[in-house]
Amino acid sequence: MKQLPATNTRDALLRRSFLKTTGLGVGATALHSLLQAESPSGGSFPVLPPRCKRVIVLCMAGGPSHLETFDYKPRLAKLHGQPMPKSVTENQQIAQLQGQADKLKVLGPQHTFGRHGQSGQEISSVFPHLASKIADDICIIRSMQTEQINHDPAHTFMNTGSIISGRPAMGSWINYGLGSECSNLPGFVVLTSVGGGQSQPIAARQWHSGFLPGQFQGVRMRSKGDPVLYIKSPDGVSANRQHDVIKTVRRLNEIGNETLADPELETRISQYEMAFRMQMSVPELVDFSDEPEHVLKLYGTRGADGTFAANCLLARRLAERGVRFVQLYHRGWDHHGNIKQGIGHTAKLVDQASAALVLDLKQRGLLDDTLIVWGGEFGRTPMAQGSGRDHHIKAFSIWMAGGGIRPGMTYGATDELGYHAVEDVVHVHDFHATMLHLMGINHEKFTYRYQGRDFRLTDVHGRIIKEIMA
Amino acid sequence: MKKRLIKHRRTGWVFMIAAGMSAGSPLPALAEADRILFNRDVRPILANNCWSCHGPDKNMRKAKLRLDLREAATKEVIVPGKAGQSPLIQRIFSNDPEEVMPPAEHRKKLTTTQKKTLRDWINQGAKWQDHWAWISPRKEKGLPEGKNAIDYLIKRRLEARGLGFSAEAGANTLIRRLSLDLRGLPPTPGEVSEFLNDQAPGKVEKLVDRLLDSPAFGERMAVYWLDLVRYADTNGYHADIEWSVSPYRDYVIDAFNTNMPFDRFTREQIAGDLIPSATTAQKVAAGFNRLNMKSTEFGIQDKEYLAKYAADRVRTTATAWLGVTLGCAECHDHKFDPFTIHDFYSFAAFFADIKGVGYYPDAQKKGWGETIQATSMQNAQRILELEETLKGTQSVALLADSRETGQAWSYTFKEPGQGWQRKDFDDASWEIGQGGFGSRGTPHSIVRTEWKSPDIWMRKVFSIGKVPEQATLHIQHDEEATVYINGQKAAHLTGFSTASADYTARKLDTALLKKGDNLIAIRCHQTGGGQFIDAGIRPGNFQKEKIEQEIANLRKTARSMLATVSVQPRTMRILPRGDWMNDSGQIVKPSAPGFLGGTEVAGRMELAEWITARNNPLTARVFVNRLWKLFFGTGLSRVLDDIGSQGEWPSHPDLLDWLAVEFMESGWNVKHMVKLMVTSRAYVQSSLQNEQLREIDPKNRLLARQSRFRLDAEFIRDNALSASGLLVRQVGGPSVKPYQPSGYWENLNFPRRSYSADRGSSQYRRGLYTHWQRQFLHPSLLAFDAPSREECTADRPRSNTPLGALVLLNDPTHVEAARALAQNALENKELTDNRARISSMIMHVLCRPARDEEITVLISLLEKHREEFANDPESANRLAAIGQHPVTKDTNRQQLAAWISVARALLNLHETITRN
Repeated sequence: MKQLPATNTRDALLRRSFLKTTGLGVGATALHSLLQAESPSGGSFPVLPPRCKRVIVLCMAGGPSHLETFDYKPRLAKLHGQPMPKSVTENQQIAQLQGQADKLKVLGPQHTFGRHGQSGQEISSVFPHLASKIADDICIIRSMQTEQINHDPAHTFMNTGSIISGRPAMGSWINYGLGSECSNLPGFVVLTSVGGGQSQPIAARQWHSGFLPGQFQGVRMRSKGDPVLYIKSPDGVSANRQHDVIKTVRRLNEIGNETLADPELETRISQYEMAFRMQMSVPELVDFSDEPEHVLKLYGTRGADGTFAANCLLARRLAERGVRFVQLYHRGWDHHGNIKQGIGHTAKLVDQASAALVLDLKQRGLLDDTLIVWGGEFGRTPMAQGSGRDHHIKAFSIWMAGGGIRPGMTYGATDELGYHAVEDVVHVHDFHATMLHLMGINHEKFTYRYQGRDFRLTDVHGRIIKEIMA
Repeated sequence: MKKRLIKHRRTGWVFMIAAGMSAGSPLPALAEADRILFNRDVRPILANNCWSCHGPDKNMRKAKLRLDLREAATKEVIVPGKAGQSPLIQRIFSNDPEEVMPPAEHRKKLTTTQKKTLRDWINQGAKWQDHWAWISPRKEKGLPEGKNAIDYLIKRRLEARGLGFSAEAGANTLIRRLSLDLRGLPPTPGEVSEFLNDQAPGKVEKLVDRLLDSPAFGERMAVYWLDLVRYADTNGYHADIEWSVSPYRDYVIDAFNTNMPFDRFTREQIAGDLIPSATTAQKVAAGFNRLNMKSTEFGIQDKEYLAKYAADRVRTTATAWLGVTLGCAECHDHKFDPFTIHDFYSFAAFFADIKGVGYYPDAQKKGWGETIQATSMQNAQRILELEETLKGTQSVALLADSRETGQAWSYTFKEPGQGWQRKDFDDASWEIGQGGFGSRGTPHSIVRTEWKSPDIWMRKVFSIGKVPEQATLHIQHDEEATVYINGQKAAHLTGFSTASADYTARKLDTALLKKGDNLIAIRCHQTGGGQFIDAGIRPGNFQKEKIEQEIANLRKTARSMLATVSVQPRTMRILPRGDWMNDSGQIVKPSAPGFLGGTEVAGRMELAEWITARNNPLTARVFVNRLWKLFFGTGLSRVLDDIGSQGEWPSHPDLLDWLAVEFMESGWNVKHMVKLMVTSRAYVQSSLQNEQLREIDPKNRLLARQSRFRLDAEFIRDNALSASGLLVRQVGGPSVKPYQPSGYWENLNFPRRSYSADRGSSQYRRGLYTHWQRQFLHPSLLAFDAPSREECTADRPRSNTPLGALVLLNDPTHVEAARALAQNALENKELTDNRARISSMIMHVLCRPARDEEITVLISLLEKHREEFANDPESANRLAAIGQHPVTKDTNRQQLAAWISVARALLNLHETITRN
């Protein structure tokens, strides 16, 4: 499916919303429901010219250490093995190092750093591909902060801006806001891979649509079994026979509707057609046989085998087909012990493909309107936990690239121990606000009424980080 | 904002009068329709647009101005009766971006109509009302009784709009609607035809009574209640491991089935453990307080998670019973309703006595704190009975009864003389006959000698080698029997035991027996109906082991349940901005929100009493409003989880109040309320929408017709299994695991685990028994909007998505149901041609006769696929092999496969998953 220019889609959706008085259809959006909800504000979005049309989030689940990846702290090396200054850690939240306040010791960076690209970005040696290939394409943010110090709630907060379950994931928000540009795939796709460290669990809550309509929920694509749940016709039912059944269903629905005149039925029929198109398109999507050798090599994959590399290539294929929000989880960054080897191992599994995704989108002209985000749910302590590091929320690093992001820059800074983000702090809410802004959405006006309140992805917070925009 | 307001105050904006406003003009007499009602017309405007800065939250308040209280508002910016002199009006009509309210940069803008409403309201005197939901409901005077009040109040609004009720729905539609609404199951074709053929008046009421008596009613209602109390089979956070709480689910089913009054239902859940000498069931009910998500993630802070659990309990209890968003006051005073942060934490304090921790270390092995063992109510009852009857003996009979082989007895029907029961009595004149004695046709009797007269006297000598320590008399009697051993009275039994095949076992006094010959003599007397007598004697407690085994088996059905145990309450502080690390906040005691009359009280029992007090304005309204949604598709107030000022002014406030009062007056009688609703004229009307209604009332808030809506996730499953005859109607028990795509749990860890679907009858249970994995809810439920139950859910959305379509098309559960549906039609000998088979399938699935055109369409699918599968037997075999349900041995698989296509089409119809 070829993607449509965003403005045309919006026009079409706008028209559709006027013409169609039924429930939320395939292409229905928040715009549609806003008009239905008799909202006097008439707030429509995007209200700004969008800088990007889709997002790919490479979620490094488990919490990558910023101190071994993008935030070099020579001072830590000097203090290695020394007690951690109490003034820094006092009254701060601690995760697994609880009860060891008197014994906290500094752990120096476990990997070396170098400056790379024309921009001289400081990147750890665990990422040779990122460093040598895309240093000038990415914007590193070293001053991220979050509020939740344990994996499960931290992911929930990163994805929904809230720690209370039942709030929509950011991919759902964006699809609700902008609609889908794709008529044979869901607008929000999630892929997962493991390896390199302790595989912390990931709940389906992380891509749930919460109080938004169910059609905006993330759909997980899997490497084993059916790529999408129930995507395969029953055993013994060929595509043609399946289509026969669906056509019969449609015909019978129409006969029934002669007396019923049920407006919901129109939507039902279109959803069955969408379902069938998905059945037809998903096998083709996950079949990499049409990818040339040099592309497979670029990513370092042979086929859709569930590795992070394969998922990155799949993400590009999804982006090409107009999928609005793709989220890849790599569950392998929880390095409580032996971080030196562990982080090297995990980095190796994601380095080449992360770089490849940026390069590949760039060479196809898709990077300009695709936002790529790379990062975890939190960072790790400057203090040692044995040979590893504990969870840390006062500072961590992520990088962004593509759609509207200023390339080759580093934004924000931590203190000399890498404990607190101290300069240009970027809170999770700020990240959300910025992402929505890049998509042309004013995060303060982007609301959904639930339990009597107008909810936002950014709650009542969020600063747009203009400084990192191209 | 603050700055600008001050500036304008100084410039004397109070005196400015906008041109063109007829301020101060005498009010014309207003027709009721023109009269602006504060709660209906004004409050929503103020709440939605003004109160976030000029409302209850003192921290957000701008210019020290409050527009949520009349006194404050009229002091500052409203001059009652004089819109022209009211600064509020001047500001909202202003074109000056510096001056206009809401401010230009604010997200909210007023429409012209809204501005006009505010102006007219002030001109009419700016009458204020408390928010409707905070005022106790009252029944309007002079209304008809019962369901007629419902119809009267709906009709009154309809007539005001020149409308009336739609025609009654056809009988097929009506029985399907009632059956789905009250049982979550479709009617069987037998039930449909019985209803259609019933010409008696009151047939709907009769049907409703029968449906309400069905155990499926409790199951149906439980689906709704379990969402509210966020019932699930796993802990929710992080590892998301299984725990055992299914006894609570069964308690809920049972409570609805036995029509437990809602106030008692409330008390038992919130404080069942505190009831003096609480029963197991009440303790199970109190497990409600332990259903919240809990964490065993290593590295979490105990204190933080205690705070999370406390907040969850506030949100859940406040939403489930009161329909308010008290949870919004966790960090600050509520922005729209008069809940303060103090209210939030004093509400949380109600639950501070519940034993528990924040971090449950190693819960995979150590569990989640206190538990109790709970048997289902039926099983517990049976155990009691068995324990009562635990009296019995051992194997080889001393005197065999006649169950196996007839034993010879002397007998007579004529009254013998004195001493007939003694050893020395001469019975030579008596007859000899084989036991048992009785009239043929008596239940649970083996009659070898006919006895029809009122009385029988029997004697038999039996010999024993050794008097046992214990002996049991086994006797089947109909009716009164007296037994003598060696002339001594050994037993007297009244009534009859023939209701059961099991002979009554009675302990026999072994002192009556002696080594060698013994005489047993029995007299049996009967008054009417069947009659029968037989007896034997066995050594020991013959039935004991059997009974003990049964008791042991029943006890094995006991399941563990997370228990609420009350201990010394934890100190509860206000957490400033919800920050659990901040210990500076005031210590609070349990109390309901102050503005609703709450005062400091002891704890949960008082909370339960306050919730169900007659003057609590919320509980009854919230409950009947949600019931209304179940049976009409939309609540009378549409927002089910917020009855506060951001909720919806009810479409029929008078009706909502009437129902609420009726509910309380009936003694919180749930079935009574359900029956009133579903037997009303409003309920039984057709759901068809005509042009006029589409125009006037597209969302059907006036109720000039019934609504149509998609079935809930669980009932979509139940419907398919029921129509195909696969459904297993066992009530309660541990949760079950239907087919689920492999690998669906691959992102779970600690431990990693795989899912294995249940085999046998557990595979075909109702949807509500599905194992509820919070992080990865069964995808077929998720696709149809069942909530993960991580949080309290009062209102499920009804989405219409391709994922839903994929479930109905491809989930093995639905494919197998299609096969069973097809098999049933093929194997039914009464169905002699394809038309008849298709008609029967449509009757099973849609509960109505087939239309010709439908049959034609389906026959063409059938024929096409029959031909295809005939040429592709391999595919036919594979399709027919889906699911555990056996294929009858000699079934023609190619034929069956084509019929499966027909059945699949039917199970995928919009109508199939729609209640209309």
